Amino acid sequence: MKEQKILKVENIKLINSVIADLEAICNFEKDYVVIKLHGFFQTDDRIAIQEITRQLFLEEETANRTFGSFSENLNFLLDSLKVADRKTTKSIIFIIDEFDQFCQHKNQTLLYNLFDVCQSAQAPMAVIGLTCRMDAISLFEKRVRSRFSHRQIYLLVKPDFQKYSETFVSLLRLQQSRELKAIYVRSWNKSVEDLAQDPLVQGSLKKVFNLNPKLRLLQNILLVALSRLGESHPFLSSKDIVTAIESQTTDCKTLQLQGLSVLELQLLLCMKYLDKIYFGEPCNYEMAFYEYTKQMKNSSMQKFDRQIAMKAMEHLETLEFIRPVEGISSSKVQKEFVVYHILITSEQLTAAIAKYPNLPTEVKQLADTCL
Amino acid sequence: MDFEWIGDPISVNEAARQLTSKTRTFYKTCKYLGTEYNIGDHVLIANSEADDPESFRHCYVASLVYMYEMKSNKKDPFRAQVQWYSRVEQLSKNLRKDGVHPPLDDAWELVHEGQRYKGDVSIETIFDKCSVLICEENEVPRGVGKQKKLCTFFCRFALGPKNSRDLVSVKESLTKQLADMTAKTLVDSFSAINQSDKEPTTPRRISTRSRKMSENDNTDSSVHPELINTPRSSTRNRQPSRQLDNGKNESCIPSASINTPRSSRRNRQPLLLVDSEDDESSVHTGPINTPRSSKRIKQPPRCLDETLPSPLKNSTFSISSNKTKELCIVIQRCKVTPNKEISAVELDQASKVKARKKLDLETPVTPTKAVEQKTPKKPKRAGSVTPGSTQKKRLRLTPAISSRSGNLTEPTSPLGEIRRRLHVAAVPQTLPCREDEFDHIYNYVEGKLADGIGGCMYISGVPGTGKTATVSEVIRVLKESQTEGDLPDFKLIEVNGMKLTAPQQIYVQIWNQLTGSKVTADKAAKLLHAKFSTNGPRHRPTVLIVDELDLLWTRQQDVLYNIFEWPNRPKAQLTVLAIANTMDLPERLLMNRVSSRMGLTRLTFQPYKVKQLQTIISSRLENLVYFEPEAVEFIARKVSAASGDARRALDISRRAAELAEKGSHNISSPTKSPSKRGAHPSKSTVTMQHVQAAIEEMFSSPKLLAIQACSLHEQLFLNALVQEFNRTGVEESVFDQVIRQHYTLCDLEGMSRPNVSELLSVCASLCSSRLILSEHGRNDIRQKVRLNIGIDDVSYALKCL
Repeated sequence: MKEQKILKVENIKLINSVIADLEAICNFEKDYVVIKLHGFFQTDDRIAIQEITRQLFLEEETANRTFGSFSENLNFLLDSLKVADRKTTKSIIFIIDEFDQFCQHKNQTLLYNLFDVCQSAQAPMAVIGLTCRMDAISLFEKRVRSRFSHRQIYLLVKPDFQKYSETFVSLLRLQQSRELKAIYVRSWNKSVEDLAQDPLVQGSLKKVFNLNPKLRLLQNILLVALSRLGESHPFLSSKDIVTAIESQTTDCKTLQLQGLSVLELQLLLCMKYLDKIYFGEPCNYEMAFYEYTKQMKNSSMQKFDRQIAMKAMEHLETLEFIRPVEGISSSKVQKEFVVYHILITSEQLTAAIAKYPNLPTEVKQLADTCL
Repeated sequence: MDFEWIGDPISVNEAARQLTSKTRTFYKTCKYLGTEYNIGDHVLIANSEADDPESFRHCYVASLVYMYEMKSNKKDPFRAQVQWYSRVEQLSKNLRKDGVHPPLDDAWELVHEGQRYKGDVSIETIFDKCSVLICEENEVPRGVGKQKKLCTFFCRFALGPKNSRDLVSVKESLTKQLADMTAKTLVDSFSAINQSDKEPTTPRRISTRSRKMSENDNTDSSVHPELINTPRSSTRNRQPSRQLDNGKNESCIPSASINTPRSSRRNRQPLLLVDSEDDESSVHTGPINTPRSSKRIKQPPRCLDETLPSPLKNSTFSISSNKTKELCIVIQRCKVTPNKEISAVELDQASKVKARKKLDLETPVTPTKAVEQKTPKKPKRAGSVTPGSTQKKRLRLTPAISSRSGNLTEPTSPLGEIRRRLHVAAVPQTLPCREDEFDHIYNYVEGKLADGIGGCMYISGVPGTGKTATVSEVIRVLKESQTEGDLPDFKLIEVNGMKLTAPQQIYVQIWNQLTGSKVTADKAAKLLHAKFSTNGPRHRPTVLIVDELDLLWTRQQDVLYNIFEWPNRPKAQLTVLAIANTMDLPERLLMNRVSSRMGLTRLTFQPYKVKQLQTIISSRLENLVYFEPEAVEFIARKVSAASGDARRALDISRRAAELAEKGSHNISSPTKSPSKRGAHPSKSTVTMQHVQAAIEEMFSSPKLLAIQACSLHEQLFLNALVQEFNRTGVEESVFDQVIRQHYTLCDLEGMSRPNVSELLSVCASLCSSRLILSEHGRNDIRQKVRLNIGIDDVSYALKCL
């Protein structure tokens, strides 16, 4: 008969293991009901209440029940909980994932009523809310907060690289089993431990760890690395790990920039230049094209005329390298004069230009002057 | 006017006649709209509150006791005294919920109301005759239903004594009524009050009730004072030899019959007794019955009609003084019977169910239809689906939760017991520290109920100050005093604004709790308007509790307007207790016309003070000494300094008890108050340390920890935000500016620069835990970012690393 809140990271896993433990202790069928809600599935109280009713009365014939109006359902649920008695009825455990989403609902009706039932001698129940938001309690309305038990558990762990690399090893390690030859398992485990000691791998792992120490990212990286294995390549090498990490952490904008035409790249460089000299003020097509013609005056490169440059500009917009400034409706303004923000940093441009194959040297020089 | 009296005025009895000359003339028969009504007839009375007042489903059923004309009442001179019958669905919930009875959901079944309500109605509300069969408990007569324009109802049960939850067999109850009345006088006369403890209550109740009613009744129904007066005057005037024109007299009201035995007490002359009883005998019934004797009391009367509408109607009393003793003995036996009757009802349950099934099989004419009912636990739902009104057959789930198999283990350790008591849900026996507010509300509601007028009270206070608890305590005490007969019967309606999906749903809720039927919001509003503006024939005072009033606010404020308008109507008899958090809600939110109707009766619940919180916790702990008094005081001080919320105080103390219990299990913390632990090695005490730990756990800010749990680049990003703020002085920064700062910091730390995608994911991760706030990610590097925590917090947390 209390409500709790669990924050952060692997909360649902923890809850599931707790529920599994609980299941081992008492007989599931007999003593309690678990009701699971999710803030992104039950997007309003009406759906949530229908879902609760459905999960609560799963044993009864729900097939014939026609779900009535919202208020009918709410009253029905509240009546049910009121009828229940502490001594005789099953306990109910509510597990609400992303429960901060429920705070957005109108009047927080569901939360209020759940907490109110917890706080009054009605059905025995516990409400466990999971969220990743630190300030979730401040989202409660005053009267809801008063009914909340203020029991909070924070799953906050200080990141520790030693443990991280241990996890890396334990994720990859194989268990002895019948399908696998013992000798392979042994040599695989040995290779994994060697890999963990490899300075190249350690450096890359440290980089990832500094950015995002979460387990999920590590698993994704390892999955990519493992998928490279084959008969000819039975053991993981440090190169596999490094490329896998790169594949998970490369900058997508830089990759995209490498697929642009020279004209588009030139236009972007011009816009970036304007952005720099005007201290982040947005610019329009006319300004960018004027800058372009200025640069091309003494150039031996092919010059494109207005229409083609316009087309290139539109292409940049659809790729979201540039973005029209909000608040100015683009329909009223001629498209030459729509003002754009450039959404690329100079680092991204430099990196892209360095990798661009067969780029004319003039553009490279231009980039050096512009950026 | 389609109304005429038939026959000459009749005199009721000696006493009544004195007053009769002034105000009213009694008649035996009348003709209204072509139908003749005699005293003793069963009639249908229009229910002005129902949607269709004259439908057979919604009208009231009663039997005529008196009919009289009141000259002084110009508007509505023709009136009648009636004995009511209840429809099954009109019975209050707790009566029907009683699992003892077989389901009473028959459309044509009535319940005799006994002495609970006496009605004084205008004859014009009567619209038809009907007939009522009085049956044994397990008997269901044939031929009930509507046949040839005549409705036939049947009646098996009567309501037990006031506010008891039991139904008793109608025959026995009628007999008992008679016995009770006689008992009072006999008990008085023999001054044998100490015969049993319970005994005097019943007769006294009758008298208090009638007294109350006489106080409450207005001039147009001032029957009761006369009736109460009757005994005295009769004692004064009556001569033993006096013979009244008893042939024509009628008085069928049970309360009137009180005088009979009392007069016998005063004069104690058998002859007189016979006289007065002759007064009461009615003419129109055929055979004059055998004198009521002990034998008659023992056996329920065989002829059903004889016992109705009033037990005294057809009986002629001839109790001589030498029989009184015998009667007294019998009455004692009658006193015991209610229990037996209950058990009899229990026993008969099965047979009744059988009988009902039989009825369904045998009488296809009757429109009875077994309502879909899954468990007998759900009487309300079953009642709402009345077979007559709605033909739709809808399967409904029972509002119940499946029961557990194993029994709960009661807490064994003292700390477990403490935890149980400290739970907010545990209902305390008393509400300490709210005595003044309690008195205030109690006196207000009691006064309104006693005066039969309406009013409304606004109760405000911050959450957790005991508003709802106090009000429900008031209601509980009111119900108790109502059971004792000090207050008129009232109907309680509780609505919580939070439990409504829309403000308009309050009408549906109120109407549902009033009548048990479900209608749409608009319809319910109309019906409620009608109900509170007319004084229906069976109008009871209503107490409406509206919790979380502020949620009923709408732009038009029509809901609030109506809630406060109804009590101001002269006939509504509605008392509204409105509860909300804010003290100045009427001034701040409400229009003038609404706050004016709300009136100025306000009550504010101040947040609890230190002493009060201390009292609350220790009153819950009672005699359990495992909680250090200093610890209690510490909690009280902490909470009162912050909010004064009693819930919080209880939560903290419960958590502290939990911690103490945990600590005692694994004695890993010998440092915590070693002296105590040394004293009680087996039992642990809740000490200051536990309280401190509980408070820290509940109220410590997790932000410091959260920052320290961030990855290196997340921390750098936070730092970069601080730097950017220091540079610009504006809280909001643009993402690409923060990137510059971040890169600078990276260079300072000698770390490789992460790319923009990586930094965006860092930003998103910080944003999901709300350490920073950011715009929509669509804006990419132009999105605006700001810290959601203090800059000092960030610097401090990063310095600690």
